[in-house]
Amino acid sequence: MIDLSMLQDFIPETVEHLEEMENNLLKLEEDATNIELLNEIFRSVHTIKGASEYIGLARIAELSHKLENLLELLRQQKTTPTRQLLDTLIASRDRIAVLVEDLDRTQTEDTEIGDLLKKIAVLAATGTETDEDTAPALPDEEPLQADLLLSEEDLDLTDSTTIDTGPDPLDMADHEGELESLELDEIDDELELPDLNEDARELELTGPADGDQPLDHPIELTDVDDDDQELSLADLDDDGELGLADSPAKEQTAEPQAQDEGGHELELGDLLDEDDTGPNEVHADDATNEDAPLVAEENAGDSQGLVILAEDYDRELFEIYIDQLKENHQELARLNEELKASEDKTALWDRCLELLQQLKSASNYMGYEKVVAVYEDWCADIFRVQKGDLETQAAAPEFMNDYMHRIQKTFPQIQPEDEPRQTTEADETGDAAEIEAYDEEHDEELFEIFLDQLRENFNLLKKISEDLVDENNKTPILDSCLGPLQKLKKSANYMGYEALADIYDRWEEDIEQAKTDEAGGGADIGTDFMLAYLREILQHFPQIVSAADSAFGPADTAVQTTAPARDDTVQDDAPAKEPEPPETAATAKQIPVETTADEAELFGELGQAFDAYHNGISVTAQDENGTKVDAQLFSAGQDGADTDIEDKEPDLPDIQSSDELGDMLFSSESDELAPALSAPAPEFQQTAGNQVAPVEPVEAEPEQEDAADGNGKKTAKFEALREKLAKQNIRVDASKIDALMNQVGELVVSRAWFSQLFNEMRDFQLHLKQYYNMDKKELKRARNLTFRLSEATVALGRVANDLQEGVMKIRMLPIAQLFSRYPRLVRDLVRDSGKKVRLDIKGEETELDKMIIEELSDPFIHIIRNAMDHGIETVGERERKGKPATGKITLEAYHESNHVVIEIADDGRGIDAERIKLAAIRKGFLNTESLDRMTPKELMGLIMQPGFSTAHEVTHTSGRGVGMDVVKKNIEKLNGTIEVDSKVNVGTRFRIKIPLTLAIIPALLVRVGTDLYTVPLSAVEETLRINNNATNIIEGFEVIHLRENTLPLVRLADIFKKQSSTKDPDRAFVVVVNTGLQAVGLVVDELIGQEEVVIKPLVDYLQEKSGFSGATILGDGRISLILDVYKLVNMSINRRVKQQAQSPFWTNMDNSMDMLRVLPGPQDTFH
Amino acid sequence: MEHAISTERVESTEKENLKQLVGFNIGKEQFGVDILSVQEIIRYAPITAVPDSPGFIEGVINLRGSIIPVIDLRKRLNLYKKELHEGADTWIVILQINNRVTGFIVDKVTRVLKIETKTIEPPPDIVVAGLKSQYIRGVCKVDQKLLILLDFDQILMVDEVLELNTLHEPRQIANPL
Repeated sequence: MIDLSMLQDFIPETVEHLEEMENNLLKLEEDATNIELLNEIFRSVHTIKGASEYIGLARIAELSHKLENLLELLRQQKTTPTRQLLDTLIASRDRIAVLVEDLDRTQTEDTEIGDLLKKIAVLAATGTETDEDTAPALPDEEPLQADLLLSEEDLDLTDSTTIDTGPDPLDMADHEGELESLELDEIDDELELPDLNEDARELELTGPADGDQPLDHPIELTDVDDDDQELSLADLDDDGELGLADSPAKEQTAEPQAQDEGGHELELGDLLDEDDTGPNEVHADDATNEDAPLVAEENAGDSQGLVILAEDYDRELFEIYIDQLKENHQELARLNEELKASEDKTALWDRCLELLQQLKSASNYMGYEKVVAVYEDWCADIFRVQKGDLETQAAAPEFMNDYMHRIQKTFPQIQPEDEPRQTTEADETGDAAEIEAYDEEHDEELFEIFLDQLRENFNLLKKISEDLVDENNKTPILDSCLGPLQKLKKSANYMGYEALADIYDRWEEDIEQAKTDEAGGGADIGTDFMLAYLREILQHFPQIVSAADSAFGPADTAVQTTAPARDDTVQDDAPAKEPEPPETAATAKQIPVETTADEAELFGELGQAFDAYHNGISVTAQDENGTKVDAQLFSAGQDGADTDIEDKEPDLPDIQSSDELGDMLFSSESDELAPALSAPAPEFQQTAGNQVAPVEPVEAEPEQEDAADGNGKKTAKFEALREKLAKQNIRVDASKIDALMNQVGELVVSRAWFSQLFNEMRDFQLHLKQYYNMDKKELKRARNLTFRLSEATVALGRVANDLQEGVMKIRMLPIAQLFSRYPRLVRDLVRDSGKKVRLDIKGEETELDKMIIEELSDPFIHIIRNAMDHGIETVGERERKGKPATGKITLEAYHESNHVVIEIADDGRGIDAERIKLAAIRKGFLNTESLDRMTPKELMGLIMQPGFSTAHEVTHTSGRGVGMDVVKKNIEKLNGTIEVDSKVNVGTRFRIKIPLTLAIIPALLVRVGTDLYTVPLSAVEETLRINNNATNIIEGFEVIHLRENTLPLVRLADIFKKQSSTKDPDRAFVVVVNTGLQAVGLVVDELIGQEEVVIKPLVDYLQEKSGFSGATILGDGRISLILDVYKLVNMSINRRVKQQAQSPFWTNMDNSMDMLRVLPGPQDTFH
Repeated sequence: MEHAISTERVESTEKENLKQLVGFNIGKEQFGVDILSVQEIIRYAPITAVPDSPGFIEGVINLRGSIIPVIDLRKRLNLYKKELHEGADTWIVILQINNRVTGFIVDKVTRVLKIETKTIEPPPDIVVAGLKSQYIRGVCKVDQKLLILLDFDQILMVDEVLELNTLHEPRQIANPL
């Protein structure tokens, strides 16, 4: 059922996203207002959602979808990131992680998500309710939000209060959801106060009608976030406005009657959902006025939103986005054409829908929420046309056009940039050149391939959708769409264009939907939605299309005419309502002006696009737009002429002069533009002179700043992306790397072999000289050969070293992978304990073998838990001690020669040596005397004994005395060491020292009898030479005195049952090894030297309980066993103990190391 | 086509009927092991003893970089002691058993034998050549002589080996706590 191969990719990717999400969530807890973080989280969730939907993981998709909704609320500041909410977010993240684990194990989603869904729903609902409280004057929060939009426009209208906004607040609120963050961010700040008042007034008027809405609406909204359109419909139904506005088609049909404002209605309808028509129609005159400023506002929102967003996104991505837009748009335009001609519209509608969905998700990905909202509206309209009112389809293309225009308006900055590409769009070389020309950073090749693929599949889909129109049985055709779609999606995924992938997702969904529709014998299924999708994309990428220029007419004129009026209104209102009237006024002024500028740019761009792209489709589309929409608009509005397109183009040069950005953007196209502009220029200049010019100075500056800022950020983003591209990862089976590592190990061994040969060669030379009395001349050849052999050996050695290092590096990962797991742990622990703790992480870039990282994970969890539970004091206690209330745990990693040292330190109460002693006695570990003799370090080491705990009570985090011994064992398994350092009331520090890699270690070679053994250097403290007669026997243990201490000796020859063969029987070599707590001297026959050895595992039954951790192959091919010092010493002592097992004292000992510890001191007696 | 299929079938039945064995000697006895489990046969390799390992484990060898345990089959099977005159001239048969590569020291590897499956008889209840029947998969006659098919799964029963290993280690003294 689930594609396993996709799952294989999905799981690690999702895990990564979840990790990222967790990190960001934790950061969000600290900094709840950080919108960047929210966006990051949103992106993670979104990606997970997209991928899971694609694969068909219902639960993950569902949960992530709801999460998205909740996050969306957060983003719009409709709800505040309360603790409860964040907890739910984190819990949801965890749940997804669990689901992913399920998938990993069983390929199914086993874990239920119902509880979380409920929680999220409740939170989303309460979130909106909370906001209501902030506006007590209003019964419902949504009308307020909606009215923010409305009232902006209302400000311009003296008679705005007379508008019956009955249904509007509600359905606008829905759109608001998407629009707000973009549109209102800046405007709202200035306008909020007046808005509230306006709202209040409006609400008074509409109060009774809205009476029942507030109760259920917030919940509905959050539940159906995705289906805003339906919701608004439902709301309307409640209001009894159904007849007026339940379908856009109806609206369209109603237009002719509405006459003048028809065009405006479209605009309004698009922006505020078509339901506005109702009131507009009623108050026709008002509406006309109202529409225009509203559009202006919208556009202002758009352009500002864009400016902001453009900074966040790299041009590259944007490029692609635009490209997609272009293509989709073209297709949409074509569809629109077909719509007019076609009898069977359903298919076309469906196609449109699909396109729109694509574009929507693309925009969503880009973060253009405003655009997304538009697409959503659009989809909803189409949806309604399809479902609600099939007969009114005839009028449909008009609203299609409107939408298109609006989208195109939203991309004023980009279009000019893409202009060159527009002209060459048809041929790929042009495309390539374009890309090359304009960002070197771009991975052209990849992008090229992507584009090719996109184009190819796109055309295929187009064709299919055309076929769909006159096909009766559509299912097979729809099925055939899925192939190219999936290809597109995969390529989009590969490029990391999640938005694109998302579009395809939705497209696919729609196809499925269409299939079921048909199966259910439902309405006519056609290419409509397919075409809709294509068109949607075209709109995203306006370079492709020239159709919609005219659409800008209304907005343009509206802006121009209403901008001054608006200023007035604001200024009028401001003194009364705003504490700082001049500022408000100024900002208010700026905004419309900027809008105008952007508008103008847009028109210019569109005009160019038009010129460049006067192909069949666009021309017809233009006709349609121009004549129908624009004519209406203009007749209603200010220009009153049919000069639609040319009229708007002239805006361009004027703004160009004043606007840096405009300059930058348009410079490339000015040539193209010139002819088109020349004619209507005077006309324009007149308008511009009147209306735009006065405010230009104000606008130019911020715009410039924005642009500069944006550019800077863009460059940074570029760099990041470039790095990202360069850092392409390959997922490789770990076993392959292991095999490679093995081979490298072989090479290292071979190198040693060559060295050996070289030595033998020298010996041979000597041999020749001595026994065959060869003179120098005769020997020369041999010597030459020896020399060359040595050179070759050195060269081989160098290569082998590099290779070894390289392969080792493959396995190396930054320790951040490990460290990043702990903030969450600390957070979870903190909330249980009522303590305040900060986790500091240093040196997370330190690299360590991946396997080691995995092995360290659990020990660290334990140490951190201990630090939290026993180390860090409660806030009160800390304050009493004069410490900062917030405790600190530091994780630090750094290199130390061939090791990585990781320190885990806390500034808590420290470990009290006395308590350790008491606990040791209480638990019967040791007696007082032996404890008294122990160094502080040794005492601290006691905490790593099994069953040892100083905690008086057992909490659910720690205290059972199980753990530190395991920690120690785990770390020793890695050839690492662990030390504890603690000062009462200052803190505790664990110092863990780990070899860089497991496979190759430096070691000391020793000889025992005839065999060579390898002692890992990490365990070696020092080497000694002792006189055999300097040893004492204490209770069966041989010891020597070493610097005031006694050092137990272990004779390896004895435990290996070897015949010792030393040159000097009186003296012996001792290798002092650290077994973690206690040094032990290993008596060997000879020290051979230090070498890098490659660890090879022994077969299981030889390695287990053998005292060897593996073996290595020496240069001459001999095998040397690697001592597992800890185990070996333990074993040998156990053996000794067994011999003396009858002694009652020993029965109390659980670990031989304890015995070692009690041993020291000749005066010691044990009973 | 048909012809090809029929040949194949013949071959496959042949395969089923015939078993290829690697024959080897320990002392005077003839043994056999399924050729499919034989990875390679080497003459001599220096063996490194592993202290504290069961007696029949001769040690480990370096087989092109891999460290492989070597078991003295004679000791493992508790066969009669090697006679002195037979010398140190040994072979090591490297077998792959249960994903473990293990070398077995034998006196001499003779040849590859093809025997019909049906001629293989189950191990007799009585001890053959001083060998416990649990290690014998079957016996068959080759050239009038008895050939013993060894069951290396049993010979390399790891549990047993480990058990033997633990005998060397004293029992852990229980902690009363």
